Amino acid sequence: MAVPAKSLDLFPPRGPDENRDGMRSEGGSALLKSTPAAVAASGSHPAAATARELWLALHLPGLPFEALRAAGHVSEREYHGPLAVVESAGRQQVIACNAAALGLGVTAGMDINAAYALARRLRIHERQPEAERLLLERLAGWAGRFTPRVSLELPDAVLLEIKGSRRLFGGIAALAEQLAAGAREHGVTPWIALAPTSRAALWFARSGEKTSITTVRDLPGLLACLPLAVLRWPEPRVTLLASMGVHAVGDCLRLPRDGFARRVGPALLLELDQATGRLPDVRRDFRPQVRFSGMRDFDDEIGQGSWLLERLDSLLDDLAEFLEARQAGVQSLLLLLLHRDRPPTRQVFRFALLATQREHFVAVMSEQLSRIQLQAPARGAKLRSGPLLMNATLSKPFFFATNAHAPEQISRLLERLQARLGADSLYRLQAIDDHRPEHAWRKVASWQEGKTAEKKHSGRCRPLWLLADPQPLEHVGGWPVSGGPLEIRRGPERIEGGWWAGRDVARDYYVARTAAGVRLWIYRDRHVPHGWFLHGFFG
Amino acid sequence: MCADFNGSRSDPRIDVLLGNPAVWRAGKSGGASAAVIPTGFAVLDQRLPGGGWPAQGLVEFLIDRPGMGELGLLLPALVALQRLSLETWLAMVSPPHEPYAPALATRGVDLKRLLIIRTPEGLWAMEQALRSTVCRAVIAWVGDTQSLRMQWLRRLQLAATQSGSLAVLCRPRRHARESSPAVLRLELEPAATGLTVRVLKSRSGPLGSVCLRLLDADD
Repeated sequence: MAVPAKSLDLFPPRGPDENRDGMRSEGGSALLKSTPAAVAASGSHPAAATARELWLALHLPGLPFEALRAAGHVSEREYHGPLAVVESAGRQQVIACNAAALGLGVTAGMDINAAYALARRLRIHERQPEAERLLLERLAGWAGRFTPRVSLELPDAVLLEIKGSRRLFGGIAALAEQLAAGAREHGVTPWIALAPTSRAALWFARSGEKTSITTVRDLPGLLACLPLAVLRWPEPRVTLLASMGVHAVGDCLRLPRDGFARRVGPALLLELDQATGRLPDVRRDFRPQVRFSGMRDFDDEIGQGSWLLERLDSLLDDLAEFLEARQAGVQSLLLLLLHRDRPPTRQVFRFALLATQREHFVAVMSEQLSRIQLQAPARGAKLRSGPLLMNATLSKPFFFATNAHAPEQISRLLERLQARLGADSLYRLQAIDDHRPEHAWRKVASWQEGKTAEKKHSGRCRPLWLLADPQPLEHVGGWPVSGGPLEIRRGPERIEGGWWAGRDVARDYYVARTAAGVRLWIYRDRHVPHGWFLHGFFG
Repeated sequence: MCADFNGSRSDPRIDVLLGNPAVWRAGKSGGASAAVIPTGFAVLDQRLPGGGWPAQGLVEFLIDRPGMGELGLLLPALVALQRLSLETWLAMVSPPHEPYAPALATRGVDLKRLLIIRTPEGLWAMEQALRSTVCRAVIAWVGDTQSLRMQWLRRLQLAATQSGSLAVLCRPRRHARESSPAVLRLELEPAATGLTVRVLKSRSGPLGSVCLRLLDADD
């Protein structure tokens, strides 16, 4: 087998006669040219035919500190000075540092004290996994413009399958360039690699070498040189392998398969097989964010709810922009106020109508925020949206109204009431076709559209008011009294049923009148001797 | 410039001024200009200024045991208001019991446009519902324990005047002797034949009581 070409530069100088993809295969012949003739040729080429997928991996080695900047945890000035990130306050090892720190000799894995000794101006920050994930998802969402198959590799890589779409973007090299530029705009610096399997692409990207491989046949040979560290296998396994003299992927590939599976584990053997293309690797596609999520740290601690809104300004701007870009709105928002030593305070905002604009958020939020009782000063906030709803649904009249303003008015009213009183305080009624009085109605949320058409009820006489719980009535000689004898005006109406639901009901209902003229709806429970109850008023 | 009450006026603007429902003219029993909502009870309509519930200004019901007749009294007007337009909503604030959906539906109320609000801040909710002109009728119940300050009554009266909606506040009867800015105050009492309605305060028209036969089970 010929020695495969390795380490092809992804960004070669491009001339008119140059291979557009910047790719060479073994033997240096042009492959994957963007001309139709070349495509046809590559289709019949045995080597090209084997690569069913092409994965471009973006590994973000600087994500821990880049995410800090994106979330506003570090100032621009701090970011350009020597900066190191530690896992958490307790841990004393640097897990990532920026170029300025590297220049002073600080490296990942170094003890904090050693790092300080090298760089006295070094700033140390705690890692923010959530901010990292946020930034990664933003990047993945943006990368969705190049291919529908984008996959996240947590915590710090994004993978794109570009076999089908690379030509649309001017070939692999041009696509990679666009990706790199876009990533820089997102505030991250990616290491990029291309391979026919996603796992191999990821490993090459982590190794930091700009690798571009387009045929599966080349994979084992090229993977062989990679150090085991890029595999991110569990520490005990790596130690075990090292004790066996295994330091590179190639050493692993040379080991007998069954022995490897037994001693190191079948899961890791599977990874190797997937990387070399022996076995398929099915990745879950990243679905572009369907909710807004944002976070801000406040410059100072806020102790009063009424001051919060101002600090949320830029978050709300982001939200409005996010929604505008998607032509969508939200019906609910979750605000988490972060405290120093306490779990965050949760606050939910609901909108009766799709909220798309800043003014709309502010109108509802200000009412609720001004009344919020903070247990502790807030030093930051996270804002998450509920599911995005398309704006198109807005054009549909929300409450069967013909007037364009009425649905908006009622929605605004519901919102205002809800913001202050809570969603549980508002409801509407729905009549249900059930002969058991308690089950013949139910509450529906005020903002839901009534689903069922109301059934016309029969002429049964029903009171305007129903008691939530029937009240037992006194009785004299077997007949009910209520502050005096009751005059039975109508009845009985026998209502039975519910035994199938475990609530056996056997009642005789009467309309009764008190001496004062109040008309009552009462019943006798046939399971209880002299069991008279008051169930409603006809007032 | 002087307006002649017998007819010819030199300035049409005076008509506009006099047409303002806020202008009360002595000697004229209920102006034709005052918007009213027929109550559905002819006997009561005759008693009320303009011949119906005032559409501007607070109405006060003084009743001992809430749920004893006020809803039956208002229902014809509520149904008529809802039928007027598909955008008309009704609101009930802190009703004493559960308004029973099947009975309301049978009587013609469109439940989809009936909002129930249950909150300790009922007066605020009532004010908001009145301010949003989409609720053409707002009925609120004030419990025995709640003290209702004059300031709140004024606020509600103002909101009711500006809204053009029917605004009804139900209070315990012991407040009947206190003063109130409401434009109409009625004392309700169940009677053998239905409901006795006593007019305690009215901008015009006679005081006194009428007895109504409410449409319900006995029919």
